[in-house]
Amino acid sequence: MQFTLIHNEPSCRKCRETQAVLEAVVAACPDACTVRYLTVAEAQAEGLGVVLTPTVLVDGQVLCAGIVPRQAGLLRLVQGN
Amino acid sequence: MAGQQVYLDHNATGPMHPEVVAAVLPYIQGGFGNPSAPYAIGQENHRAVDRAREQVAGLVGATAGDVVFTGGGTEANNLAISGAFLGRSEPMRRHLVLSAIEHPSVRETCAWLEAVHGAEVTVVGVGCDGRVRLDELAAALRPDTLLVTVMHANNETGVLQPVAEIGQLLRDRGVRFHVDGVQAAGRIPVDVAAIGCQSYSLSAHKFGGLKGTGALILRDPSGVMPILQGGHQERGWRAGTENVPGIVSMGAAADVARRDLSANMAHGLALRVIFDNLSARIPQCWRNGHAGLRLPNTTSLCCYHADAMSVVLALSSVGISVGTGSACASHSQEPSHVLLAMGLDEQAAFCTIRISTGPENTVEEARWAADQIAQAVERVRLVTAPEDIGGCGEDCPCFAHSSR
Repeated sequence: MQFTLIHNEPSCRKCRETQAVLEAVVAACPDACTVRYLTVAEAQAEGLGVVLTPTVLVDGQVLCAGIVPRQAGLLRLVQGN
Repeated sequence: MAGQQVYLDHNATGPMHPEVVAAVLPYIQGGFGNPSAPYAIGQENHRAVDRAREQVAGLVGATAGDVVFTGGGTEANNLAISGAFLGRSEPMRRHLVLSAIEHPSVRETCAWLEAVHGAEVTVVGVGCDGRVRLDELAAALRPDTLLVTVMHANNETGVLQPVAEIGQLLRDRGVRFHVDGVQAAGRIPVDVAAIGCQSYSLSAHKFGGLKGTGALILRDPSGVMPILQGGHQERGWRAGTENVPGIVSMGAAADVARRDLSANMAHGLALRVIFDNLSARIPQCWRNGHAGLRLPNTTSLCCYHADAMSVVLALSSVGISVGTGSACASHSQEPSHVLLAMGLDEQAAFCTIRISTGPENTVEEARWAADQIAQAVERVRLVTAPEDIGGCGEDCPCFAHSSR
């Protein structure tokens, strides 16, 4: 599972908190997920329409936008339950 | 359905009907004349505008002479309200009454008249079903009330307002009644004479025409003044060269909508029940607004604890377009004034999506989209902390397009 975090540059509070949550999830399940980071400009260059930051994608599909995702929920997604 | 685009936000805008495209093309490709010009190509455009005037009038039970083409529904509302206030013959009549669920083009026009021109404004509430409280409206009337303005169908919930009853209430009181019919015209039967309003607004792109064209049905122009200066087009009511392709599109779309109205309403109801039923499929989910007195194409759905913007963007990434509350508010994180007026709390308002179908949507698309909505809500809830929903401060740079 690949997470993508689309964030502001410079990051706002929510983007920083989301980055920390994603890094914790990857640290907990390093074999099951990875994360990459895109600025809004980079995301738009890839053709991703961005309305809100932070936006978190899971395998290319938007999971949430404008909110800091809960670590427990992300872990359940990664672990498939 | 995977890989396809399923558009379910027709209350924001919709595609042009193919017959409308065919009607408009001659006025884009070669027939570009100015309707005010005396030579042949100008007069052909003049006749096209007059044909469209007949077609639009026919959609809402008006006469062609009542139709003033505008640059959209917003301008039509501005003309009806500002024109009536600024042109009034009795200066002491300065009281305006509007409902709490009006479109910004009505609310902000009234607020502007209050701030700049000395109007006094009363806002009338709605019940939890989203319908204007008639008793409250009657109690709000004053001897100096100039105008009451209430929409026919709400853009966010689709709830139909008791406009005929309001028309009856205002009859013989000397109070103008303006109806914003932008969401209703072309989707349900409309008879402006039966409503008894003095003016009624329409927007072409809500029923298969081009954006940038609307009309004000001005049944009683007494005491109304134009709000644009600089020309005598539209019999002096709307200065500026007519947008002939837009006007032709509106006329053709009116004809198509009138012809297909019964079939479209039946089709809309068949799709609406699929989305209405999500309130039973998804836990902590309910449909906003009156169950029956509603546009056939609209479902407003609150999925509590599922941030609507996340749900909408998740759906967008699988090819489904639905709205979050009002389209006009979708680039700000203000809770919907319509939903708040109906008694929802802010979190419920931030967790509401709007599904509005069009004639081109199929039952198969609707079923697939309903399944996708249920899945998106479940995933968003999994990762959402309730306290995070709608929590952006004014200085937050969350909106990637905030500079627009």
